[in-house]
Amino acid sequence: MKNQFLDPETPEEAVMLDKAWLQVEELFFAARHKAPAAGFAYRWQARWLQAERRQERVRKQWEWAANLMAVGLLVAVLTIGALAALGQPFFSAVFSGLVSLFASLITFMRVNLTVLAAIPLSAWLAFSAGCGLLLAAWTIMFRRAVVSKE
Amino acid sequence: MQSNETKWLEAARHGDAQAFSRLVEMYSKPVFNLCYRMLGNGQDAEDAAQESFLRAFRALHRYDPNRKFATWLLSIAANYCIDQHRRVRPPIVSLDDDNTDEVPERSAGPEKRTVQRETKDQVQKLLNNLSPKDRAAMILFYWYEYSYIEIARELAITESALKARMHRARRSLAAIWQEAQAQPLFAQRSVYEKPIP
Repeated sequence: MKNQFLDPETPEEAVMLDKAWLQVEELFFAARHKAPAAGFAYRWQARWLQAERRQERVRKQWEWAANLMAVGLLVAVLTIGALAALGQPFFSAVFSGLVSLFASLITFMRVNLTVLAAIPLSAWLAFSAGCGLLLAAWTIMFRRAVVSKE
Repeated sequence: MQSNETKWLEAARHGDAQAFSRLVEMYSKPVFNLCYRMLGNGQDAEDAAQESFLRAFRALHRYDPNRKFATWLLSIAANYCIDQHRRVRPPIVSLDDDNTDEVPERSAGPEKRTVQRETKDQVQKLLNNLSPKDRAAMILFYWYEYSYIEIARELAITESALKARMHRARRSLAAIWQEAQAQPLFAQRSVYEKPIP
């Protein structure tokens, strides 16, 4: 939409726009500050207490969930172990499978640690510097992209 | 006043909600006014102001004491209101269910009060035409007398981008005002219902 006031083409239009702006500015200066209804700080305290209670409730729920999961896992492992010890072939297979999975995980981590420990400090430093430079370059490009959007 | 503020701030940083509520009392008006100008109605402004104080209290450990507390607080409120605009488009200003108080002026007679009410309506309607960020910039500039540098920092934009935004906003408002003056049904015009792209 072509708006003569937004895109003044003649000096007269520009002057009219300037005058209009001065009137708007006067309105802004004349507008007084708004104040909240009385008791704002009391209402804030009540809200804060409510938010605290809600946060505490959520924290407790998470604690319960984590504890339940830990207990459930322990019970499951113990049950499978007990059933395996009693000579049930299926549970025996599941239990030994779990044990070998954990063993493989530990071996995998140990091998990784051995390989990582063999890398010299200078190589680590060079790698970290490279990562840092890439991160910095990305941050600068991202910032520029955001600013150019503005 | 300043020493009290420092004292309350220090206590609040250690989790003293009572001390922070003193700061809430102290800054409720400027924060509420900013939220009101941003959101356009008393109910949303109350909610946004309360939430801004809550966020400020939780983020107090990140507050840099070298910075002015009011500036930090108002930037939280401004950014919260901008986020609110992104989430839900606020309703068009409702002037009848306004449960706020004007800062009283003793000498105001009935005629003056009518003029003031009209001014308030017009100002809010004009502001509603701006994008949230432009609106925040204009409010911080005209109601809080922030400098361009301060506003740019609070709104996380460059100073030149801010100047361009404000220039554009001023021209838009002038154009809307000029057009509105030419037409009698100022209050019912659809131009106020959507921001200028």
